[in-house]
Amino acid sequence: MNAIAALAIFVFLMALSVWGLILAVTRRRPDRTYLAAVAIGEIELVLQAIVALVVIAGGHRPPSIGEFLGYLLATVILLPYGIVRGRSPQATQWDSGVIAVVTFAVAVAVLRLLALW
Amino acid sequence: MSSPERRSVQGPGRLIAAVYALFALSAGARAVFQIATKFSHAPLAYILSAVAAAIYLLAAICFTFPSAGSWRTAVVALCIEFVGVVGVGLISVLDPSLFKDASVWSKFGVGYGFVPLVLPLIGLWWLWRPATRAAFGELLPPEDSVA
Repeated sequence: MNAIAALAIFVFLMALSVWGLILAVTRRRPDRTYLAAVAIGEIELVLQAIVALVVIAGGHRPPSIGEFLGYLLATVILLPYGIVRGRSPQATQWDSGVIAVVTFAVAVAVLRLLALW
Repeated sequence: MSSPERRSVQGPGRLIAAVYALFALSAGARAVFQIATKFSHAPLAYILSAVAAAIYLLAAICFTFPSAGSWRTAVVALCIEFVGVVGVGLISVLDPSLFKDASVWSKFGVGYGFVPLVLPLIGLWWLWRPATRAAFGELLPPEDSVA
């Protein structure tokens, strides 16, 4: 994993989390712009996962590979869940809060990935 | 009561349910990994992580499928969770040798930003609200409102 790319993704996810928090406290449900930004975050995470898997297939071995792969899986499955919740017609400001929480959790998982690489 | 459409949780409960699911996932994955690879290193911490994960999962399921029964189950689960995080927190501070590796609840959940300590209190506050109880069918709804 490239440290600079991973840190850039971390910063982007933290920005998404703050954005979601602002939507939640101002009582707004996730809007299209926000969901599009979250989708971009997911694309970055999928690309990062692909790169990591290619390098692992090429012979790199993180010391705790099981744990690494667990966190890698978590980084790609959580945002789609948030997007599904945010797109739901019944979504409310609380779903903005859900996305704020999952983007924060994934941001922390990205840091763990970097430490475990 | 036989309401044709399935009840669903609204309001803050949507966020609380998601956070519980997230904790069930992270504590559960961590416990499975630790028990599978290094159980003898800190058995108590790993077993407690697994117990915590099971309680988070139970609460998340109760929040997702509201009924009078799931309301009561959730209240019991959250009380156990709160006693667990306070008890394990105290033991891990008083006798750290029992916890060579961190569990979700050790040192009052410091590894998770103390969220494990606050989460059951927020959850119980939410469950106790009349609107939530009505949405779970635990009380007769005052109107057609949902939590």
